[in-house]
Amino acid sequence: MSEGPKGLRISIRWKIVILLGLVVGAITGLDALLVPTRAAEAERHSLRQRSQAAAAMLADSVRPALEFEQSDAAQQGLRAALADPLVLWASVYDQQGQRITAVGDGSPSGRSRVLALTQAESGLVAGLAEVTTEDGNPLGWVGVGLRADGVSERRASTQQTIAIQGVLVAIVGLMIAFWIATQITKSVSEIRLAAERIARGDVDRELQLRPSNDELGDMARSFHRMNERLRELSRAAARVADGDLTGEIGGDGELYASFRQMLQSLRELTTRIASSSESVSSAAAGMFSAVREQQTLATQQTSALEEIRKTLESLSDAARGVAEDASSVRDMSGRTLESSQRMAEHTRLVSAHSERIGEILQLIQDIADRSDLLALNAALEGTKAGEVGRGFSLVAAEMRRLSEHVMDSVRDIRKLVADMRAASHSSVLATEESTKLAKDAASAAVKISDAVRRQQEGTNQAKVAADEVVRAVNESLSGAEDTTASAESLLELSHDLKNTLRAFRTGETA
Amino acid sequence: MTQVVLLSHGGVACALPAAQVVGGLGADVPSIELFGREETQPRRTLVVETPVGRRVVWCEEARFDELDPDAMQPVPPLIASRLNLPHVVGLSGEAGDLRWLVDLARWEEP
Repeated sequence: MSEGPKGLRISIRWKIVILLGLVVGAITGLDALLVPTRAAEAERHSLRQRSQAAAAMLADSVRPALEFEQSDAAQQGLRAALADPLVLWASVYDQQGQRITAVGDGSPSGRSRVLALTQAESGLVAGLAEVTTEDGNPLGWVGVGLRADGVSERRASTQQTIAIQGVLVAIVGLMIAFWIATQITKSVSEIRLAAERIARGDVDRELQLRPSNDELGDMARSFHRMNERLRELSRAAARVADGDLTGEIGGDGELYASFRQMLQSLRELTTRIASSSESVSSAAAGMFSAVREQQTLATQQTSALEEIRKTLESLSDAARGVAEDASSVRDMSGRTLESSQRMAEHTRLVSAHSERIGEILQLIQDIADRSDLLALNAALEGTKAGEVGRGFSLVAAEMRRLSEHVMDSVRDIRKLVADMRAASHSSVLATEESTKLAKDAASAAVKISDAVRRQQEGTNQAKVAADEVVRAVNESLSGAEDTTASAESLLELSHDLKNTLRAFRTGETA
Repeated sequence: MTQVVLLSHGGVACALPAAQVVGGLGADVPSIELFGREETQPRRTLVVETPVGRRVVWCEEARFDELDPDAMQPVPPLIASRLNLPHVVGLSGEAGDLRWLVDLARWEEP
């Protein structure tokens, strides 16, 4: 806000008073100068006409005296003019302009002087009239001088009166002007104070302006309306500041339209920020979880890599043991091969014995079968022998049961022998497989020795690589911690933003 | 009690009167088929003496035993006509074991 131009500060009331004083002074001065002068000129002009008229009347009265050159008669005719108190003198001049006779004091001696007096601004006014015969022949001139000193006195008196009146009018007018200007200035000052209060933003209180019935009253009422509208705007702004974006703002005009547009923009902005903060919050939470998970994984990887490194060291140590063991395996495989060959021979011998047992069992079964048949026949014979053969039949029945038991046992033994033969066969196959495996084991032991040696080299390289990976993962962990801190900050910021946005009510459901 | 020779003929439990059975022999003897089926696993044969002549029947196993006459009953005519086996003369249901009672005197060549 500019402070205004520098310089002497003069109140409006004084400006009005000074202006009015100057106007009154100028008018009074002009009146004091011009009015008496013009009045004096008018009076002098009147006196001049009056002297001309007097001269003309005297010219008629002195004409006979001049025709007959009787100066006494002419002087007698002039004396009538002295009856007028304003007449100072009257004189008669011949055709050459020389004074013939005169009455009164101070008459000029020649007509030219009288003629000069008619034009001069002096204390007297002179009039001149020509005297002619009946035929119009010139006889001479009559001059009359009137007293004009009262004109100047009246002019001076008039000027004084006008000056006094002007001063009085100026004083009264200035007082009235000062009072009116004070009233105007007071109203203007109140309006100014109200404007300053509005300018400061203090629009909550009612304005104490007197509603006069003039332009200042209109201005005060306009200020009242402006204050009310600004108060409504202020309350709307307070609601907006309090986060309530749901209200509506009425009113026409660019300011209200701009305010409504600002409120609508704030609503949209708040909604967009809420949506964005929701997305940022979700993204931050997701990022935080992902980073945490990554950190956890990295930690687990570090532990796992440490375990792997230790395992590789163990593997390296174990590989040396395996190499030694492989050598032992190779030796043992040779001995196993010999044992397998001996076992195969023994198994074949067992199989041969099983064959023999089968043959014996077949023989036993045939015997039992024959015994059964024999027991049947014996029972039949015993039956035919009647009561005598009953004991024989009983023996036969017992013999039959015995043969059945034998055949049951033979069947069981045959089954066992069959199982044994199958086992022997499997054992032979297993022994052959074992022999083959022993050969393969010896060969594999050699390969294992070579493989273990290569594995040792690979293990050492893997251990070095694991160390490198551990270092890289540790560096990644350090970076993940920074990222976690950033994600936490972002998450907190998004939560703060959401909490802040909760203070704004846009009338839309979240 | 009736003395019989119990036999298994092709898995079918049968009974012959012990008085008709002369004795048992090995499986390598020509024998007759009671039910019109091929021999499965003949292990032995029984020599049966009937009024119409001697018959040799094969079996998986045979043994001498006694049956309760009250458990025996003839084959119902309707079943006998359907079986068309005239040498099957009755049934024995002793102790829950169903056995065909066979009389080889009524056996006819197929």
